[in-house]
Amino acid sequence: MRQDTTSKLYKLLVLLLAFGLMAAACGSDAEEAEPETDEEVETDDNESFDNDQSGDDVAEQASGDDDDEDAVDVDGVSTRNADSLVLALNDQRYTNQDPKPGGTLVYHWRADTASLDPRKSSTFHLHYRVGPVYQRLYAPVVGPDVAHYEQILEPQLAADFPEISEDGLTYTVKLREGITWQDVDPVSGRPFVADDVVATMNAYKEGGFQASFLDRVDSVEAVDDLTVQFNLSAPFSPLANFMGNHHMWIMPQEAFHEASGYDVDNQPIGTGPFILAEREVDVETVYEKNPNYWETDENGVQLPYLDGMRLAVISDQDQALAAFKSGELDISDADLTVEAQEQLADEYPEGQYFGWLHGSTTIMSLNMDREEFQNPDVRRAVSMAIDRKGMGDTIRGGGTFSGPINTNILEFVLPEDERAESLAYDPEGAKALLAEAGYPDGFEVNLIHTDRYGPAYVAQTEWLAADLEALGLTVNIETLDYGTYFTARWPEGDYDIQFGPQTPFQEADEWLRGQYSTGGGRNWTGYSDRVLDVMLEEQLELTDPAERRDKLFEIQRYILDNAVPPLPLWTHIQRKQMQPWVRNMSPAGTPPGYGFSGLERAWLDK
Amino acid sequence: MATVTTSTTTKPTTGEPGSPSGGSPPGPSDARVSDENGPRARFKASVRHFIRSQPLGLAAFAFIVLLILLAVFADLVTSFDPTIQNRRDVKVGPNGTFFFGTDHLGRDVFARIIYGSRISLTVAGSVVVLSTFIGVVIGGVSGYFGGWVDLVLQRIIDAVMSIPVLVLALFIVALLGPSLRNLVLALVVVYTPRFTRIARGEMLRIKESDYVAAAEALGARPFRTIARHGVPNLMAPIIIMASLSFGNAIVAEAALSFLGLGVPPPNPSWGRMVADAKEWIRLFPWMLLAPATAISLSVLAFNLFGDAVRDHLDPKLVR
Repeated sequence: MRQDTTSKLYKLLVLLLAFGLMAAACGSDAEEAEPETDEEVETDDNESFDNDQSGDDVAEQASGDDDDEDAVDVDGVSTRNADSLVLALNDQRYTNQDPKPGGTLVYHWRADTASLDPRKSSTFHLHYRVGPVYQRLYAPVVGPDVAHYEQILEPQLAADFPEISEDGLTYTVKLREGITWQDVDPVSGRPFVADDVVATMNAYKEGGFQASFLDRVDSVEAVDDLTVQFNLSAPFSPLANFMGNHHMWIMPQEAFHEASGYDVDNQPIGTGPFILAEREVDVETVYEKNPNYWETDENGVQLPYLDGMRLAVISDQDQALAAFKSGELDISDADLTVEAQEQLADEYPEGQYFGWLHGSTTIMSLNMDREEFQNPDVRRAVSMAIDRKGMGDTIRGGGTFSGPINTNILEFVLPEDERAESLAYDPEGAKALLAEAGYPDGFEVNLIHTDRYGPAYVAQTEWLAADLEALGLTVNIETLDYGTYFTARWPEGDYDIQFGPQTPFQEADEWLRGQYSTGGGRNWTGYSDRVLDVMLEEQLELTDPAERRDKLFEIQRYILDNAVPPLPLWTHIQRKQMQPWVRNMSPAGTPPGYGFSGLERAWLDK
Repeated sequence: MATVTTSTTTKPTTGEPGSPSGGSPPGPSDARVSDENGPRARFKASVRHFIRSQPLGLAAFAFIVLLILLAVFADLVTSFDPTIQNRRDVKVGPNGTFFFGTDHLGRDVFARIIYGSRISLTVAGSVVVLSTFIGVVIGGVSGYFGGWVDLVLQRIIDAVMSIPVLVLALFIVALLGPSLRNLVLALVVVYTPRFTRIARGEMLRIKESDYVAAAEALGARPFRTIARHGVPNLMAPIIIMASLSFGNAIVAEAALSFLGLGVPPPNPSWGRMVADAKEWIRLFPWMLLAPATAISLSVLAFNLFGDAVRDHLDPKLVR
């Protein structure tokens, strides 16, 4: 026994000594590491991470003030995506090499969704997954000449842009000839025709969240096999953009006839470059090349170049990054903080690393069922209590103030200085306003969020909670799984305050009418304001871009003045990473949008 | 009847029921021992013996006491609020103001460690006490009555034990939602079966003892027999189990908090601190080192103390 005891004592002492040495070692590391947060950190490739990217710098770029679009020049590769691009390390996306066909792209994804029916949910997990299979009437232009925020639509399944009647009530769309559906039962490779578009649009109008995209569309009819006509009850300025929206996938008629045997939840069959071959929810989704795909490249080479793609679900960020470093993943979807990406690039300098303004923004929803939030002064106080810039700079290493329309809609976003002024941090003013509103002692709220977006979002949640506590509110944070958060609690209004990223909407109307109009498709706060509703309807009839911009500015100012929920918070710099051999592809897409736009031209240089 | 009461103590060398050398009916000699060495005196002797024979256990016990004192008097130990974000001092290394540095939101890591010990100890303590109580009741009833009662209870226990501990705890917390109460509930469900098994095994042995037969012959009701004669005599292995489970419960709480299923943010919890810090493991290692060390040392202390208690109470190891 004595020998046992002595042995244990020695072991304990050795253990304590080891802890002491580790602590000492880390102490010296810490002293050396600390200044790095405020300085540029040199990497092996002599490229640098700008850790002090101010919102103003980014906004300046985002607003197009930077005339030098070739400003980022890395390893001799000129990068033209400079409008919102703040970091491009080893950027080899677009080279002059001839594409090498073959190979499977392995893409890391953080979560999954049960159904692949595009009508059922707007979640990005669904719409990215159906993107390789389904296509749209119009799709964004991609490639080296497109800036990250530059959303230019071009015909995809349509042969040309819509012909719009003079009164703006009829849109005629000619469809591309020679397109066939994928050769999968029950559609079995039949030709793509106008009736497919009609059936899809009717299905969206009748049972999809996309109905708001077709609000003023009375009917859709097939004029002939390759011509579709949209008949409107009143002018609807965003309709052409909505036809290219990343939620508006064209599906075969069979998808809407139960008797056909089409499995809309599990086996999408589209006109796209890839066929869904295998799927295990929460594990992987596997795609194979569509041998009958209708598109060829400029040299007549059949697309897609890749033999296939695999979306591998890895929810744990560390596990995903380890797989990335080992080469198992070609693209990592992990949205890293500046330090995490810096660390990764240091450990794995071969990778391609990017940072650009996110296509979306973070928002804070205030549930209008709470009596307190029906008072505009309370909402204003909440908005004023949030230190947006501090949060963005501290946690995200930069970014910019967002607005009711986010920065990705360059044409219609409010100027940066106006956004900054409207969303300024004023904790004392906020407290005074809350007291004037009749709540000098604050009140208790629950704040819902999900940790599935990664640790940076959790940190932002805690930051917001601290700001609200400083205002005088008592905040109980509820961490939810993604499914509960996005499909139940938030849309059903089962919360007091919500925090998280918003969908990267692609049309000004989506940002505004969708979120702020009475009964809007993404109005999950319950806000209803007749004055705002009228303004939102008015902008729909303005087909002149300048007139529409003026109206949209007026609406946004009204929203900010009245702190209409959801409150826009911060557009952060999204930091993504990709293997050195991936070409013609941007992680998270350029321009930002769901569905892996341009995947048919991606290839692997290995 | 005083002699019967005496026989319920855990000191094994007196030949009372419940020890390997026990089983003989209490008699006049036991009464004499009781008079000369009452429970308090024998407890003191036992403590003295523990101090002499288990220095490592004593050191571990001292650490545990220190930990409890830090948790109880946290607000006297540190002036920092563990949830306050010192936004001008984000990710600052250990220094004279912030002994263990600050985290990614500028919160004092030392304060979060100290206040975090409240969560760890509260969860572990609650789990051990509740699991012990429920386990002993179920195990005692199951072992004493036998038959279909035993059959049904033990099959339920089998079912619970067939699921890996962490998986079951994850399932329960995910189902009920993360909170301190649900965390304790999940861990109680997970830990109770092991106490039940031990209590049942002991009760099966005890119920065959002569003193139980004597109690029954005198007309004692079953629950009185279990409470007065059964439970006190099965407590030695239960105490050992409890002390060893304490460390495991701390680890389980840390693991669930690490996975985001513990106490909700911004409350300090060692497991959550590790989760928060892992992103900066290379650049700002103090954020990880402090909670990881706190978890390691606490678990080590509870395990060493548990080992020492086992050695002290196990008659086979008595020198």
